[in-house]
Amino acid sequence: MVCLRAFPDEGIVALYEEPSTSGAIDDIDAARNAPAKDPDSYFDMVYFHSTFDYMEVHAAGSVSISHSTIAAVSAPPGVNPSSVYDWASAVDDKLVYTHSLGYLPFAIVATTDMIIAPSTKVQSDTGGRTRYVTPYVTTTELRLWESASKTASTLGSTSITYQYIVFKEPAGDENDILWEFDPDTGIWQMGRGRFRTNRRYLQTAPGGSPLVLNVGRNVDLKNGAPRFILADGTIYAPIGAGTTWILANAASTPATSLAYSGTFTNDDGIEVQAP
Amino acid sequence: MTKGLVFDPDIPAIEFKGDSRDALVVPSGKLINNLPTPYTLSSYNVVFPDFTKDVTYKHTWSSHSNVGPGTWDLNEFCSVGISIPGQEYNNITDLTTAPADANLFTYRIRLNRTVAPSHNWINAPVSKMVVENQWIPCTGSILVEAALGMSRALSIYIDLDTGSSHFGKLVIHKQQSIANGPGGYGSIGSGENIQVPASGDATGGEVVYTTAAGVPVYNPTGSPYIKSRYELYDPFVPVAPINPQLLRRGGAQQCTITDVTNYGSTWQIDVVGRFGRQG
Repeated sequence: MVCLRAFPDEGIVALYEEPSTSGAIDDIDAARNAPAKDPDSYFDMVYFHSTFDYMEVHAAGSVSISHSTIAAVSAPPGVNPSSVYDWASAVDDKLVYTHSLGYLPFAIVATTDMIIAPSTKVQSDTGGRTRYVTPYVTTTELRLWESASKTASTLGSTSITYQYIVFKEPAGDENDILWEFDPDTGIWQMGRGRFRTNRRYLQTAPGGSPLVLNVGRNVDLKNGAPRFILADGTIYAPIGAGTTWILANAASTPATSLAYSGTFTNDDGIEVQAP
Repeated sequence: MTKGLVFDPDIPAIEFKGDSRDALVVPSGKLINNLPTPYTLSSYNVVFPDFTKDVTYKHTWSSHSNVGPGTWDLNEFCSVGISIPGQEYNNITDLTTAPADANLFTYRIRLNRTVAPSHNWINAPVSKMVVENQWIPCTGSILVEAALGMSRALSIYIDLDTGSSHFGKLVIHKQQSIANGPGGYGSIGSGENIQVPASGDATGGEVVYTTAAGVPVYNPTGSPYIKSRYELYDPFVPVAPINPQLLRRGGAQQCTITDVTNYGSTWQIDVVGRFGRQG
């Protein structure tokens, strides 16, 4: 049976499926209330728990960031690739948002509604020259670290608008209210103030205007080259299908392919939004 | 409009409804359930192994008639280097069993490359493609290293494939990949059949591997890795072959190399994450 129960001594409110009917309904130590007492072990039976981390939004917004030109490179000695001559780290480092939380929060950065995983492409041009960014957090800031794949041509400067959401750590006990609804404000609070409906919790939002959060692996490697599966399922391979290479001062032809040669796809994603 | 808490035991869900501007949990959205207890991983070494190697050997020669009156000369050259043939590596390690029904692992990760490849890749160090010693919020994969014809990535995720032996586990998935070797191996000009032109010049040689074509990653200079020799024949006496190819692979004076490279790398990681389930 699915039940919604509150336990005043523990300050817990939970919605869950009873694993058995053993024990008193108001005894959190009873077997029937095990999901309320130990949600880690009964996660599949718990639909709501006031101690869960519902990813409260600290700040959400957007910012335009100017990215500098990325210089071209020369072909290396020994081999002649038809394109993409080099990869480069630490091209630049940019501030996205100053959160000032004093601890390391979870955060999301997105472009065009697509949440950025580490080393996500945000700009590309012919031949595979590409700008990648990796979001990272400090105790005060959310930042972007840039890397690149370079070719014989310069990758131009650009401005990109990024959406961001910074999350708070879950609230602890704030009061001794087990469960309260205020009809004047329409606000529910549960579990000693750990959960309140006037907080901005991340929500799944299929069909809305969501950000897409990756689930599972989203980079695959084959034939020495990566394929990125962007959060919306879009495939990006910086080393294109026609890219080849051959020894410098080659004894023979033809050149061989340098491109990604796999078939990996992954369109698993969760659409989320900050209310 | 219903105002207050709606509980439908058949769904099951709690739905908060209200017309107040203060109530932000909207009817259309569902919360993501994240367990309060974090899963942590401290100073965990992600080891990417060294690659299977090969040797690329180049031998060239050129002959010129009538260098002087009635004379003929031979130039011979060899070079040898370490090359890495195309190869794929996948390794999946279970970190822990995910809670039943968990389908999302959101985490922060901090990475440091504690062991770097010992030598340049062709002519430059293997690039780190991710920031070090900073906390990265993450839900997917990380491309950690890349160079021409080479890449490495790691992913941390819950394996949701019911057909997988890792189903229901939080796993760390290491991948490294090397491109098939570049084209261009084979005979040069007249190959290894050294010509004795009655007049004019002739050239030839070969670029060969031991087992498979590979990325020429390590090409040291100087003897015994690079050698050349010159002989002047005076007077011109054509014989076949004019001279054994002393610098050809297997020749009496061939170039030689011992592999001193190790392109393995180790990334030490710290992870703090939470198991979750979309509502």
